[in-house]
Amino acid sequence: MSSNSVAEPGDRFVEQAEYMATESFRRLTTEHPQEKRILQRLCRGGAKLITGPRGCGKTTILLKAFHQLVDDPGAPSLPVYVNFKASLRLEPLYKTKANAMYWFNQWMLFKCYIGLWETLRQMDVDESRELKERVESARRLAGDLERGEVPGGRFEMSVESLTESVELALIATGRTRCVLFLDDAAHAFSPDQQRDFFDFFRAIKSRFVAPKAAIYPGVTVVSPTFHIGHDAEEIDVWIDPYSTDYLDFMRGLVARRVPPAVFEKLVSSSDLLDVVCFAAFGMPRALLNIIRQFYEDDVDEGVRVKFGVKDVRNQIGVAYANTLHLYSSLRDKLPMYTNFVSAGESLLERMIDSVKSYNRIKLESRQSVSIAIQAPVAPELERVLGFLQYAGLMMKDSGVSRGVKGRFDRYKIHVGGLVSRNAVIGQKSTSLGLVAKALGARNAHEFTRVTPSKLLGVDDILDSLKLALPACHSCGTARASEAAKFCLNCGSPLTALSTFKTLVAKGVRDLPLSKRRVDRIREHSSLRTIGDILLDHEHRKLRGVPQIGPYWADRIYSYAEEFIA
Amino acid sequence: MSVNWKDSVCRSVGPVLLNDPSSYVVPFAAQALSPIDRFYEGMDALLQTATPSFLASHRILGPTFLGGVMAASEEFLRAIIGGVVRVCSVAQVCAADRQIQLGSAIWHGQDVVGRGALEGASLAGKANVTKTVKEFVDYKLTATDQCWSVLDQYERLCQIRHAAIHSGLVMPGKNAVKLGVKPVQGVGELYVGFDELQEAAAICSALVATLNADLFAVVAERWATTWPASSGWTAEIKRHSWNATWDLFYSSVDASRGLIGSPTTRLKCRNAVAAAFA
Repeated sequence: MSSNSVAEPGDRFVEQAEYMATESFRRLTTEHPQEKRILQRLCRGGAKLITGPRGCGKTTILLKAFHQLVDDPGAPSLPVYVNFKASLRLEPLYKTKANAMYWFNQWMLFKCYIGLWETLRQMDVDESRELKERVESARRLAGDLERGEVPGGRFEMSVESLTESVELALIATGRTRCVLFLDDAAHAFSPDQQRDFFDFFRAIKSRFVAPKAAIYPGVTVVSPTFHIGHDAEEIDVWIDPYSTDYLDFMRGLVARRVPPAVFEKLVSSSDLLDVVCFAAFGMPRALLNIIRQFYEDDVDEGVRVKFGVKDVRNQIGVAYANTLHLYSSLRDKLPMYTNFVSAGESLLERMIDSVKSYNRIKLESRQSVSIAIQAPVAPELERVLGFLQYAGLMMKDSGVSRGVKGRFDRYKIHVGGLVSRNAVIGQKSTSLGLVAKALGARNAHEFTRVTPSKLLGVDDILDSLKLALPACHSCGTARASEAAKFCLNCGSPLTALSTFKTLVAKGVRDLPLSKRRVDRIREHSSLRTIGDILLDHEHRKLRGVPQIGPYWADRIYSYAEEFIA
Repeated sequence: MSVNWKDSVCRSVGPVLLNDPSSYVVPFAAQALSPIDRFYEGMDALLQTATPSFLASHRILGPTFLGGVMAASEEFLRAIIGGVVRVCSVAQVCAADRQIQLGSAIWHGQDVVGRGALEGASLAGKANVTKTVKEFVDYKLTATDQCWSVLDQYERLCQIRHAAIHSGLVMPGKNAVKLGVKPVQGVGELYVGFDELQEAAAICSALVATLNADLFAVVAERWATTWPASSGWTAEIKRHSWNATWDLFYSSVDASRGLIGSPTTRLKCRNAVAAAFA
């Protein structure tokens, strides 16, 4: 970690890799513990799916692979990076246009063309006029679709035409294959788009094109004709917080991103820093968010650091609450599963209680951080566990067999939750130093075994996990079943609200901003909803609010984009 | 006593007669409705009868209901295409070479253009629908039309319908292979439960709504751009022809259910179309 690698204030807190300028990205990212192995697999042929919750480093690793291939003139693979973050903007089409699949497919192709263009531009390769024209069309049409406008006229871009353009690019660059990095491809809140994405993923795979997609665990449902393992290999990039090089990696990340004086202070309370690293639960973004709360960089007074036990406990609690909030937001994003989300909240509490009871009577060196649930687990409960994984609250571990007692699926529980609820050591007043030691020494064989019904607190699991199906909007009659498409009472088609429209109608208050900032925005601008912020051209209205300059305007906009991603 | 071996395998039957075919035909009650609304009326009646419990206890009727929903879709297709031929001079020119059977002309009389013109046309499957639209409306459906992707699903449904109507519920091999149905042990039986019927109805309803919208766009554009070029075009004819077009395509049912994306009046829509192509 050289002093040249220290973050400048401007890019210190841009936690999301896709928003960082390339130079800053190259300078500030640290090597992922499994980086060499993962990059090797990403840069080679073959279809891959990289999985992990928000903030675990999927985009970072994809961009690293991208830059590695761009920078290496001898590399056989031509990289193309595409971010599908804006895909939910097309979700309303699935409610109003029967050919939404066609337009979504076109949009994905447009984004791939634009990505190909970007690569050739970065590699200083002369692009053909035909490709230039296609990319100009693609930009315009993708923009139309993201604004909810279906383009007029007749045209078509196809997988075949894209493959043709890729082959020409391979000839121009002297490369033998194209690696297509498809970021934010999970489309987690639109099952229709997920299904269509995997059909696209399979169609684009060829001798010359190797697609790699970043997806979320737990909430990604592949199309019936797509088989993970056969159609694509899965790579888990979520860093195991209990792996041997975890603490070194996280400390290295902090060292690159904070001023040296701050890092020195943090390192001087080594146990506290370790607990914070564990509490980030394998998510670099979470760690950086927590760390930035411990210091202020004042122009006149210099750097002030507050890194005591109370500060650490407080910020771990806040970070964990934010993760819980992300989980709870699934109610808005997947309204049909609102009962499942509630069940997950109770389930998590019970799991932490189970672990706490177990740990109370165990030595420091034999603390548990995991729960083992008796398999097989009902599909409804699988879905609840999937949602918890998506939010990063639980990490799936290897299964374990207990002979006649049966097989168990193991999950590690978010350390922030364990620390906030005093479940490690489990005594009334446990020092964080002891917690750090216990987590560092934890034994993988220590875990609590439970049955699904005990976990949910009900004997009949299926009864408690019912889909919240909206009633007929026309006559209010309850739906006959999940499969019902028409009201049995009035015959009206049963419609679901657009997730995108529901999310953009949410208020500015739903963003992770302080009350003061929200009040200021409301007082000094006409911005009221997430949608208003997204439509605020060049952030003009945001920048008209006192104490919101370019930095905060970008940040608030990125919060709004994250909200609908 | 010698055995009459020919009568030794099943019952003997006396004379049977189709007494009065007229008893099978009653006046069509829904004639005043637009084709789309007629479709909704038929489909609603079927689906409101085919509840989960009814179908569970009358398994044999599932395929029959499927046949009914698809028959309602085909009736819509005939009515809407026939309706376009009735109102659109461009379609009339295109359809002028098409032949109809004399029986259709005798039976349907004045309405032969609307009803009889398509009696001989097959509307099962995507290829037949696109061919018929081209031959009678002079419009080529493509991937940018909303109905295009629905037609793919309709095509698959037609394969299943074939089993329901023609094969005594046994899934014919040709249809099963075309659909990519997983092989079953022995003979495959067609099963249409509540879920399957709802899905099929959704496909048919989507086809009806999208084709209705797509053809409306085509005909409205012709009203604004092509029809005025014909001789004898007057303001009165302009108004009447717009009203006929609107009545052909407008769904009061969708309007009453609040499902129309951009609700407006007949007059405002006319003005908007005129402005769009001015």
